[in-house]
Amino acid sequence: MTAVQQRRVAFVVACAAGVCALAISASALTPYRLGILAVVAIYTVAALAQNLLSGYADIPSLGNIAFFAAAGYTAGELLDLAHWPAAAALLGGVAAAALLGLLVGLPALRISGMHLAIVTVALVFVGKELMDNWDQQRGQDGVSVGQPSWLLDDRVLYVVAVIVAAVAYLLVRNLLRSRSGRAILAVGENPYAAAAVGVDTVRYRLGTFVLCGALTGAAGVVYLYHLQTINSGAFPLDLSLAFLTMMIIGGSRSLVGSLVGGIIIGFLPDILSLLPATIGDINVLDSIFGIYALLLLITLRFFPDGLWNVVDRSVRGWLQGRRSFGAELTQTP
Amino acid sequence: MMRAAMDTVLQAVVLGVGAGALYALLAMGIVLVFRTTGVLNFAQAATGMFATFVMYSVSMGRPIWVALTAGIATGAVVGVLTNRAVSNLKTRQIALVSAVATLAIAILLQQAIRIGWGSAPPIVPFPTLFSIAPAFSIGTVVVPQLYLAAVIVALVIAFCIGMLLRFTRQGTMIRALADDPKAAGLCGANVGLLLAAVWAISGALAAVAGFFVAHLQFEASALDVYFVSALLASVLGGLRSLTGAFAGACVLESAKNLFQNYAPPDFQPYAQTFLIVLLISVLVLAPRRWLTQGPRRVV
Repeated sequence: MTAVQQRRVAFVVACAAGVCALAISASALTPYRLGILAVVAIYTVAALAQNLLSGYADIPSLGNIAFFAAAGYTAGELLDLAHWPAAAALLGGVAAAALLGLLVGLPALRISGMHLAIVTVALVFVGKELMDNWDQQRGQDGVSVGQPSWLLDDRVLYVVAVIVAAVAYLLVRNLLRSRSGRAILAVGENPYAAAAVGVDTVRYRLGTFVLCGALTGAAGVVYLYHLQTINSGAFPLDLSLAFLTMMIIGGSRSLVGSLVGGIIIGFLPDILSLLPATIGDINVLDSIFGIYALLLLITLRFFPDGLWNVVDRSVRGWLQGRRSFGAELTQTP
Repeated sequence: MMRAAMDTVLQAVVLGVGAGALYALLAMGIVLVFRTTGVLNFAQAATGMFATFVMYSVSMGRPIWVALTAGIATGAVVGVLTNRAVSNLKTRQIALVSAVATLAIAILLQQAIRIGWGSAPPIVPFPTLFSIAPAFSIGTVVVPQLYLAAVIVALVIAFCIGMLLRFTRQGTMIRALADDPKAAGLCGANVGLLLAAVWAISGALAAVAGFFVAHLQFEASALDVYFVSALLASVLGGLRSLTGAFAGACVLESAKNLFQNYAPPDFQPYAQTFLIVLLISVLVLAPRRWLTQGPRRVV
């Protein structure tokens, strides 16, 4: 077999194994666990999108929650108010997030660095104001989804979330290995140098924003079904920080890192629930964003490249050490 | 008729300048730190509120001046600690990462407030020093005491910081530090100490802002809205100039008040959105030179 064929077989085997694992876990686990795993999948997609934008393309964004919220609200309202068919409404949500990505990307062509970071934070506050007013005008407790009913089932939602995460992972991975991906990397590295070698920086910066918006939007739509009722309180600035935390804890510019970050942050509430519910006067689960923040600061201080990169490097180093050790043995007569 | 309309506009501007002074205090802290360290301190509002809650606790049974001093000292200490936590991070995406780190600190401080003082607003009211009763009025235009005090305090502080930076040895060293930390260190400036001083001043300013805002609204997130405006104001002022930040704050707040008075009723709840769209347009349309941050990037 050639190397390409080998890789294809490996991919098919991995897919089959993944499908089996998915089916087994979906049938064996309790709805509570499935909910947590669905959140992990959602977070992973959001972290991947953040990583694409802020890691690979090196565009600071603290406001990815805006894409997340835009998709959730649009999809929810298209179902609830406009009575669109489910598939169209969900796609509409993703499209709205992508459009918002384009809208943010346009000024970001001229604004960069710290100013862009400020604008993206401001975006979160704009989003909050819009959502608050919308909630108020609607006079209800937020947007709820009841359609389609099969997607409200924990098992189905879990499977859908994992599939979305897998597709997003493969999409970003393949994109980064393509010509466009290298162009995105080049623009992130140095836009002037990239432009000098003929990369259309405007196109790739906008494209990155749109793709980031769409991916975060896909996560947001799944999140809508996870929560079933959303209002402006479901999308705090803290959650935006959580996306960044996942990217940084796992390791920016590392796809597996995003998965690791999603797993850590997604499982954290579950791990915390092992602790007593209150320590002194402190409600542990209420302090969850504080714990994210603490994790983030510790990671930044001690593992600035992220946990996955540390593990990856040491495993590689260890393997290499062993290999060269073996090589030494065979070379000596 | 004309006269009345004039007065409404004037009133909006007066209130705008007053509230603008409140967040000019925050904006000056942001600019001071950004100019010397390149870190955008998102924890500024939370620092101010944390200090204000300390102020509140100390004020129980003690004169307000003691409480004020304690609060300002807390702000300064938190500022220095923030500096320790976010400086010297070894990463390539420094713009994003330092901002994220300060955001994390903001969340930690807010958690600390929640843990220390509970999430509901305190029952005992905040000890006020000024009232919102009019200090004086010109025609029908009213100048509330609190806003007058805020404007005076902000102006005095801005003046003092300006003098400090321009005419003292330490101030010169801080400016040198802003240009080139390494060179400043080689010339004998104690870089660590000066940076700590800058962060301490910034934290103390946040505490003063928190003190004033607590007169109007006393809860953990009271400064957040002001902080967003302060950020926008400092950007409008170019992120490097104290005067710019001050002027930006007054202009923005006046614009916001005018918007709230004169926009069609349907749009009035969207004041924040209006400000941010305004800011983005300024950023997009402004000449590059205005917004340059640090040395120009070369290939």
